[in-house]
Amino acid sequence: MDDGLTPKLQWRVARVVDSEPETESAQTIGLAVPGWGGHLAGQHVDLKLTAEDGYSAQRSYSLSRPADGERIELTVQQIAHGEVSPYLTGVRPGEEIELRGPIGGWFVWRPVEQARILLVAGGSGIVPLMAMVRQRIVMGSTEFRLVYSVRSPADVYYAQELGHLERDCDWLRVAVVYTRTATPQTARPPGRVGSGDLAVPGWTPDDGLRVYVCGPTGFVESVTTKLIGQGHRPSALRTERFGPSG
Amino acid sequence: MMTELTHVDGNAAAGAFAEVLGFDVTTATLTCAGCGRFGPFAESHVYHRAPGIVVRCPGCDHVLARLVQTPTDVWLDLRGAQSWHIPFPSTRSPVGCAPQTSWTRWGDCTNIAVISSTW
Repeated sequence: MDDGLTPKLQWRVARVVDSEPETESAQTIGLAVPGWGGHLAGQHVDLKLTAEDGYSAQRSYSLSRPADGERIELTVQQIAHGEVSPYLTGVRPGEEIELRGPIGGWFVWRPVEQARILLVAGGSGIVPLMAMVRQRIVMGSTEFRLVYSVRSPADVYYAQELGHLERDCDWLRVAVVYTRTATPQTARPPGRVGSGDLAVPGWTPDDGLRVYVCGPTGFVESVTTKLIGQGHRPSALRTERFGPSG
Repeated sequence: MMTELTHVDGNAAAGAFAEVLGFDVTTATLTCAGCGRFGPFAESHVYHRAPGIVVRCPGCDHVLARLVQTPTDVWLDLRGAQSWHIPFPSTRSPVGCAPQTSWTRWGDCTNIAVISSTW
């Protein structure tokens, strides 16, 4: 697989092939990128929009699944009053967007790795972690656990697919943590991710775990502090933080 | 109430640095010239809601690197890191082997202006 790190990154033009709503405020967008050489689960791309007067704005978006030939996919959360995301969530097939990538070799999971994997997502931080889950469906032999923090059931990305995967795959367990509104059958009262939510039954920090945490900066800081408090080695943690700009 | 944190991390600056330097910086280990802490670029604190990108040490907040883009050039200031330890891409080393590494010292550098022909 091409790790996408060479040759030098350059901007290129991608064409929107499809765009489907993921939730009320998020859109999953498929892009065709001529010459795309594949990417690793967890990598992202930078998108650039340029106005007629030459003003341009860039944002980073994680890729949500392994590449299918020259087709890549990302999920964009619309940020109220954001500069780029409201445009992206409204793009239609056939439109063109400037893009560079794939980017990043740190926050990635490679199927050859043997370590058990704990994924911790805050909101749209699920996107690169979903790419890892989808990569694991195709290749790999390790156990995955996913802790997914969302405000309410309506905010869950990839809900149906995650439900099916958890039912059909013995290597995956998913725990959704609702922070504001839970489903009626959820025993846990709504609230932020606590230490108890991060303790995987049957797993200990000594097991040679690798933990990937992705979400807003405050979420990542809070979760990593709790994980280290539980005895996870800082070197076993990989994090990706995103800010409020959209 | 948690104060809104305005930084993100080195992953968010990786595209801008890779475009100039030509390699993935997220896996590079930087040694802070302020406190001596070393860690991956990916875990550094990045402030990019300004005209330029500022990369800070997560331990002491010392500025590790700055990148400013103009319409024609890129300005790169790397003096805040004593060293960059850069692994070669993993595809060059067999699975299971420690990646080979190269060292670059920036200790004597002041402002380095890198002219990018792609802009």
